[in-house]
Amino acid sequence: MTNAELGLFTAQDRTAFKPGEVLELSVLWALPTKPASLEVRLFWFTRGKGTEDVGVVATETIPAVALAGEAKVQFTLPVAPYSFSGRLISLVWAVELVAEPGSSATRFEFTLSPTGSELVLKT
Amino acid sequence: MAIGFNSSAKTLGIGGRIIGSLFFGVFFLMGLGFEVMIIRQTAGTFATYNWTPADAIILSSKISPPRDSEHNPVLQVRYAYTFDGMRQESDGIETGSGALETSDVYQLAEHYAVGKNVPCWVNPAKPDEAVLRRKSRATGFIVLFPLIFVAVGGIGIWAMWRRRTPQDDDAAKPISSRDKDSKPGRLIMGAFFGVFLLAGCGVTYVLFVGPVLQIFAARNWTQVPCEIVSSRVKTNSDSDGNTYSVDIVYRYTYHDRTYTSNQYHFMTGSSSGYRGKAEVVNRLPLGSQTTCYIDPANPADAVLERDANGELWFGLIPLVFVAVGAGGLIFTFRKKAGDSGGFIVPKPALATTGGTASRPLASGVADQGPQTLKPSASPKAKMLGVILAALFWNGIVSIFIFSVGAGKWDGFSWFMGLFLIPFILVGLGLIGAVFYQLMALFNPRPRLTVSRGVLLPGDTIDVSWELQGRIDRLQGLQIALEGREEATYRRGTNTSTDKEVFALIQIVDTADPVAMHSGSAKLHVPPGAMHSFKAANNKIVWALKVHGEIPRWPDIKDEYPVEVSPKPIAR
Repeated sequence: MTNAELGLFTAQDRTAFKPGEVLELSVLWALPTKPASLEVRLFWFTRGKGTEDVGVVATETIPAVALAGEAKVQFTLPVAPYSFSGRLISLVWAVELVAEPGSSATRFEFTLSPTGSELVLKT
Repeated sequence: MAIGFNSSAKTLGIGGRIIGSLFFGVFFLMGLGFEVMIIRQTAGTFATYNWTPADAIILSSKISPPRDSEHNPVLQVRYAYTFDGMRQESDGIETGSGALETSDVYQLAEHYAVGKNVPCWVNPAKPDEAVLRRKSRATGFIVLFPLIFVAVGGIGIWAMWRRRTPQDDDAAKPISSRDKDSKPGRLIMGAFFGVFLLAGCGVTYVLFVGPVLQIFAARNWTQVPCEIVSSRVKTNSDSDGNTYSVDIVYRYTYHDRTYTSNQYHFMTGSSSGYRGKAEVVNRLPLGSQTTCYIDPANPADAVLERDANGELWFGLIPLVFVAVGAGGLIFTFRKKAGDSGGFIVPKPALATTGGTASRPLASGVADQGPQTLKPSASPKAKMLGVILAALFWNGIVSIFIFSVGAGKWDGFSWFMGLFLIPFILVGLGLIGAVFYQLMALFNPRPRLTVSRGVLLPGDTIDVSWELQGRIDRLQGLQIALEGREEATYRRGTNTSTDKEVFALIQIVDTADPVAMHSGSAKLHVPPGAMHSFKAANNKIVWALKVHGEIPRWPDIKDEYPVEVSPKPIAR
C-alpha cells in the first residue's frame, strides 16, 4: 500500500444537523506508515470571492494509532455560524481526519442550521 | 461518508527558480562581500590589541580641507616613537578605512597637537606600522549585520531548489490546517507588526522625541562665546538625489578647557533644501564669533541653535510605522479568548446609552432593553478622516510637485508633470470631499432607538427615530434594515472588499415633515435570516440605513450597525 486511506462516516450518512446536536462519526484509517498523530477536527470554512477563512472549533486526537484501525468520535455542535450560501460567500461546516506527518486527510462536509438546510442569501 | 487520498504539491517552474535564485543570489553575494570586508577590518582592529604600547611625540599635525562638499576634512598626523631601540615614524591614526567625522577631526587635532607626547601601539611584526587609537572591541558585533543578507539570500536560494513536499502547498493542506488564526500564525503576525512598531518607535525617538527632550533640557544650558573654525553645507548623495546638512565646527572654552563641537541643532539627518542651510553657513562664516549653549554637566555637549525648527516635524513621519505596527498588533491580538473558531459571535450588546437592567427573554437570550444606536461613523469622524486623507495624499503629491517645479524644465520635468496630473486630480477630489463633509456637518442628526438590543430571526421590534437640527430642509426620509455580504480578497498587492445586499427591509419612507421629525415603526426580522458573522475576510453585516434627501446639499447617509444573533438552542 502506497497511499493513505482514510474514512469518515456518520450514521445513515446524515449530512444535515441542527445547532446543539451531537455529531457522531466513525473513523477508519489504513496508512503505509505509522502516523505521529491522527486528529479529527470539527471546523467551518468559507468559499467564494473572499479570501478563505477557517475556524477550527474542536479537535479530537485518536491515541495509540496503529497502521490501520477504527474509532468513534463525537462532537456537540455549536450554536453558530450557520451554513449559508450567498452571491459572494458560502460557509461550509466539515470534519476532517488528518494523519501527520504528511497531512494525509479526508473531509466530511455537512450542513449546520436550525432548519436543517443551508441558508440561501438572496435579495 | 468521505474517503481521501494524498495529493501532490505544485512546484515553481525552472524559469521562476532561476529568476528567484538570481534575486536571492544578489543578496547572498552582497552580504558575503560585506562580510569578508568587515571581517578583515575587524581582524585588523582586534590585532591592534596584541600590538606593543609605546610613547610617541607628534611631529606634525594639520587638517586638510574636504575635497568637496560630500567629503569631510582629513586629519594628517605624523609622529615618532622608539621600538626595540630603533626610532620609527608613522602617520597611522587608527586601523580601518572609515573617514573621521568633522567634529572628531577637530577634536583629535587638538589632542594630537605638535610636540605633544601621546601613547601609540606598534605592530611588532612591522615596527614602522603604528596607530594612535584603537577601536573598541565592541565594533566586532558589526560582523553580524551582513549575515542577515547572507541568510536571506542563502535561505531564498535553498527554498528555490529544495524538494517540495505536499505539506508546503497551502492548497494541498487539509483545510483545517489552514486556520490563519492559529497561535503560531498570530505569533508570526505579531512579530511582523512588532518589528514595525519597534522600528517606528526607535526612529521616532531618534528623530523627534530625543531632539525635543534636548531642546527642553538646553533651555537651562550655559551660554558661552565660541569661534567658528569650519563652516560649510555638507552634501549627501544617494540614488534619490542630494540632501544637505549644516556642518559647522566651533571651538569654545569652559572652565579653562577648550572644546570643539559641530552640533548645529538637535535635529539629526540631512534633508533637501539647500538655500536655508547656505544662509546659516553664510551667517556663521569661518573665523566669526558667536555664542553657543553648553551642558554644564557635560561641557563637551554643546549646540549653536537650541530652538526647534521646521525640520523637527519631519521626525513625526515614522509615526506611520508606529501606527501600522500598533494597528496590526491590535488587529492580530484583539480577539478575545472566548471567540473560538476565529469568528465573532454576535453578542446581545448594541451601543447603549440606556441603563436598563438586563432581563432574560423567553428565548433565553439576555435583553438589555431599549438601545440607542450609534452610527458606524459620526459626521465629525468622517470629517477628520477625509481631512487626514487629503493632508496625507496632497502632502506627498506636493513634495513631487515642488521637486518638479523647482528644477529646470527639461524633458524629464514635463514627463513628470504629466505623470502627476492624475495624482493632482485625486488630491483635488479629496479637497472637494473635505468641503462636502464640512457641509454635511450641518445636516440634521438622526437618533435611532430600538426597543430591544437583541435582534433574533423572526422577532418584531420597535424602531424609533428623532431628527435634531434643521429638518425643514429635508424632502424625504427613508429608514431600512439592510443585510449584506462583505468579502475581502487580495488581487496582486491590492486588497478589495466586495459587498452584496441580500436583504433590504423598508421601515420608513415618508415625506411628511411631522413623521420625518420623529416617529416609530415595527421592524420584522425574517424568520430565516442569517445571523451577523464576522471573520477576518468574510462578513455578514446587518445595519439600519438612514437616508434623508436634502436638495442642493449633501444628503443624510448614515448607517447604524445592529447585530442579529443566532437562535438560542432549545433545551
